[in-house]
Amino acid sequence: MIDSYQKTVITLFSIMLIALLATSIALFIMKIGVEPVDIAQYYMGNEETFIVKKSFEGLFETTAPHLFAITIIIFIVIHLLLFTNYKKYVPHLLAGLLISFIVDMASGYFLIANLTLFAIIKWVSFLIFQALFIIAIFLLISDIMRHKTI
Amino acid sequence: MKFTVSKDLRKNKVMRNLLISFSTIMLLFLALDITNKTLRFGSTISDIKNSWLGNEDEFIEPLSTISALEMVHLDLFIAILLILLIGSIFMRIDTKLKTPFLAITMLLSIVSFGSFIAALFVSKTFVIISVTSFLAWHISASSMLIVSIFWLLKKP
Repeated sequence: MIDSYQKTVITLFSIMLIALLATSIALFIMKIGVEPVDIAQYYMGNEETFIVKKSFEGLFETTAPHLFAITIIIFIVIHLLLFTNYKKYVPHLLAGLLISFIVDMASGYFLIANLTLFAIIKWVSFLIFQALFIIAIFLLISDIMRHKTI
Repeated sequence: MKFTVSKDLRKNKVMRNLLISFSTIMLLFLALDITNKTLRFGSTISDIKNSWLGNEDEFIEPLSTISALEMVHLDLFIAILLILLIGSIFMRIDTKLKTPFLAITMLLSIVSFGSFIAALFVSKTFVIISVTSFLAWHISASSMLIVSIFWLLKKP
């Protein structure tokens, strides 16, 4: 049993997280693109399309705040999931989220070191992270909706 | 995160002082956030419209889609954490109004971000909705903090 206050907080928190996720997907598509080729060009540059190669400092400026922000968000969502009936999925979900997030963040550095293969790895890890995050939020909302309020 | 599980926070002096300090600084943050946005976009609706949508007569460039999205992305993250933390303190107060109060704050912040995007892509009329809801959620969150501070200062 949970009270109406907790139900309201978690439901609206989940909606805000979905909005946050939507802005991150929109930013990824608008800044980088939708295909691995676009990712490679964004990081490694392209003289024909006048795209400048990303610098280590530039990447670091993005990585540092994201390491803090995404870890905090994962911590909050996962800790809320521990109080639901889906807690058996938590270890797998947590591992998947953290690994895909770290791989996604690290791939940019490998790309500026001219390792083109990491364009595909970044693309896949980004998709896995977003999918797992949507699953985590969906599990949270579905558990909250099943509870009767006191 | 002890304060999310402790029953009466006021009984623990350190926790009480910590939360009073936190709430006061968050109040300051909310005030500075309004000031920051006012300095950046202007204080009147026409100034804000010009900053967001541009004005050819005055040679003002509109806000680019990417910088608008980046702003929403960052502000949304801050709003999520802030409202969640304020909500964790406000939860302890014994009043029937706490659920509507929190729901209104969260919904207004969602409306504020949604109408900001709509103002850029759908219609100019959303500028007023975005500005009003932005101010409203800041005032609502500030009220929650003020009520929490008074509750924390009261002896259990």
